[in-house]
Amino acid sequence: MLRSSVLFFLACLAVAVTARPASAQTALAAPVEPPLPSPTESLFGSARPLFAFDFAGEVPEAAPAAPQGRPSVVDWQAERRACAGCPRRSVGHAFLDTTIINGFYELANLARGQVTAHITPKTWWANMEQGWVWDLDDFGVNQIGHPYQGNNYFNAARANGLSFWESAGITAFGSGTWEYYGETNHASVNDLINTTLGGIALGEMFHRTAWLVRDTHATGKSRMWKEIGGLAIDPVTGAKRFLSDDSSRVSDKPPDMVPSALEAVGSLGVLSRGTNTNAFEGDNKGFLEMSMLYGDPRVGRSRTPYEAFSVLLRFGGGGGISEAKVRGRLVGQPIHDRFQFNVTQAYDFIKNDVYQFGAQSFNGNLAFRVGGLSNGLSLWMMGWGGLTALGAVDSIPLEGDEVCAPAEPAEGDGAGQGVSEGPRCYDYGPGSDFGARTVLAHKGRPIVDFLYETHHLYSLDGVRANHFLQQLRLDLLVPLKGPVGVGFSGEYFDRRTYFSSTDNPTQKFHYPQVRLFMTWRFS
Amino acid sequence: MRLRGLAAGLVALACLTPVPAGAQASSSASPSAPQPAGDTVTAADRSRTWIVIGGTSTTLRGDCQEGCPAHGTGAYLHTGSVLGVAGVRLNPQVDAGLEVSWVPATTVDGQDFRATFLLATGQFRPFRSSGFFLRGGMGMVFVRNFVLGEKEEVMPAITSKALGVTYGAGWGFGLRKRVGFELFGAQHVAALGDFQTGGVNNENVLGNFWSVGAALVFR
Repeated sequence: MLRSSVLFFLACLAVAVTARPASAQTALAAPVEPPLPSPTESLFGSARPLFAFDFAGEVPEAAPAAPQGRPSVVDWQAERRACAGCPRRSVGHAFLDTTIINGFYELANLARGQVTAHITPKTWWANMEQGWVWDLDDFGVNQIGHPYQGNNYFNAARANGLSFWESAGITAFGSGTWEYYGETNHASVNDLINTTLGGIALGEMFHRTAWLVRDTHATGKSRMWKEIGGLAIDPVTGAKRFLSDDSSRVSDKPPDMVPSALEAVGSLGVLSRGTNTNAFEGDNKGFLEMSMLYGDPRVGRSRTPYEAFSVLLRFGGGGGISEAKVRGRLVGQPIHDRFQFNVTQAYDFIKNDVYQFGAQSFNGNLAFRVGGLSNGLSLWMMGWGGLTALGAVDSIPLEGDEVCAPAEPAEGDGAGQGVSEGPRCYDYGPGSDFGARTVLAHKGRPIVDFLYETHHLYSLDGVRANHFLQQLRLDLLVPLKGPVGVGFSGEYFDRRTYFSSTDNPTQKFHYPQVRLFMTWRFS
Repeated sequence: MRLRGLAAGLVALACLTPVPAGAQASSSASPSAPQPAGDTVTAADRSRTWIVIGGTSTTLRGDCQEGCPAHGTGAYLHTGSVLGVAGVRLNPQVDAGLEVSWVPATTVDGQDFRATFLLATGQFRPFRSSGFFLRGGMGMVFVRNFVLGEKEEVMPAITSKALGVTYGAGWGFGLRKRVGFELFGAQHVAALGDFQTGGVNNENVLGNFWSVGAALVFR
């Protein structure tokens, strides 16, 4: 799945490069004009009822007349665009492009020699007769590979002008059709949930991030490289823009793709993690972490999903991608002056050498701001709680059992490449989560960040048990000069597993961790 | 004093009755209220209530991924089920609510099988003017006697909680009336996972329920 994702990205790049000459020519020929003011004011200005989600990609009522050379309101409305810079709306193309993506993944699997790619109408019928099953794939495939594939479906819809919620439906369609008709494997219910919910979270995050890179007022080479940058982040929308020539069209950005605020921090450093028996292991591991705050989830009434979100990606530190967290605001509502209530979608992926955890969840959070403390200090506190639709956590061997390890496929034996025969070394189940966070900032820059969170999972597919994973984290951040700073982070993970059967004793693990790092702030 | 309290209670009750509330809303005709495509706004358009009561013809099968025997619920079973949904209309295209679905059956071994789905559900009507709808949901399932054994003996009864998922599509009739009718097809999934019956470990167990049904819709 991960290899297929890489192949998919390369194919999109190839499509874009093939389409480039025409686009580049158009871009070079386009007149250079001063940028228009960005209409961000309309983001929070609408007075809609509480749950009036934008399903139809509605056209703004009053649009200013376009300067010469830019598409006029009449032009872009006639092209079925919701705004001057929005893509053309086509539900049919969204379904078609989703099916093409499935076709591509199928061909990529076939090229890689996957047995599961040998699909026929017979395998389709067999899958339909069978219905859904649990699958036995690796943790990375199910918890990050499938969500990434889902992100492609989601953005096939976004690239065709569909709204967030419409695109969510297309993601489920893409996932369902892939599970039934894209592989000889039986359709997997855990894949359906992970691909759909994870695809929505990653998809909207990548979609909006890619729009940060694009500059729709630019022309020529600078425009082209920015479009390629957008394509690297969101390959489906990027390829679609090159194919439709939107990559060279001069217009304003879609208003809802311009965040009200933007802040990113890159961290580079070392971490040392302990085990259940040792406070810290001898070998330190390097890591690179990127975190971004898009919009401001701490304030504002919002009915536009993901117009504020946070994302954290950590590379290294005991795994290739060792941590990925996305928190996207679906609904935001201020309460009085200092309180803020948000409904949030969350995606979690943690995989390192001591434990692994992944989840798709939704929660409600209540935040409180205290501004105007002495010396430019401000305090922000938040508490949350919610439900986990499906989570995964590594299995704990019962007494007398060996440590779980996936079987190595024997040469010329077994079910063939791409067919997972298990055992699967992690358990699946629904659950809940809750936590609290406090940030002390100086002149808007965080200097102390305290986090406590608990993920609870009730494992259904695996040994029946309640798993409680707790994390305490304290970050101390010191600005040095300009955007540069240093940071120290102390973390403590605690895991407790209470088995349903009284024959199995409760298991407890803990893992301390410290990190020392340099930070670079982009804002 | 007591009479006055009773009268106040009756007045309050009258004010909370849906029909007068709807009439008030129509006379004041809030400009921000979403209105359906078409000429007139009906009582069903104004109502936020969404209730569905119906029944289905269901084929179900319990299975695990590898080596499941063809007895018990490992075989296809055919039965009927009842379902109910109670919720609210979020906007002219979207409804959300809680679905309860009850599926009784008899296994090949002669035991009573029961599955009760309790699901958070959402319905999307992409074309406001036509009756086509998509419905999906997720939640819990309570399953009794989901028999899966490797031997021919009847397994001891078990009750298990499972993860429930559903999706489906259908067509509604009488969209603009308070009472309508719908036909639909749906698939429900009861993802039980691993559990023990009679000392036998059953792994990766999952039940699939394919249904076609009809229901009354109250708005």
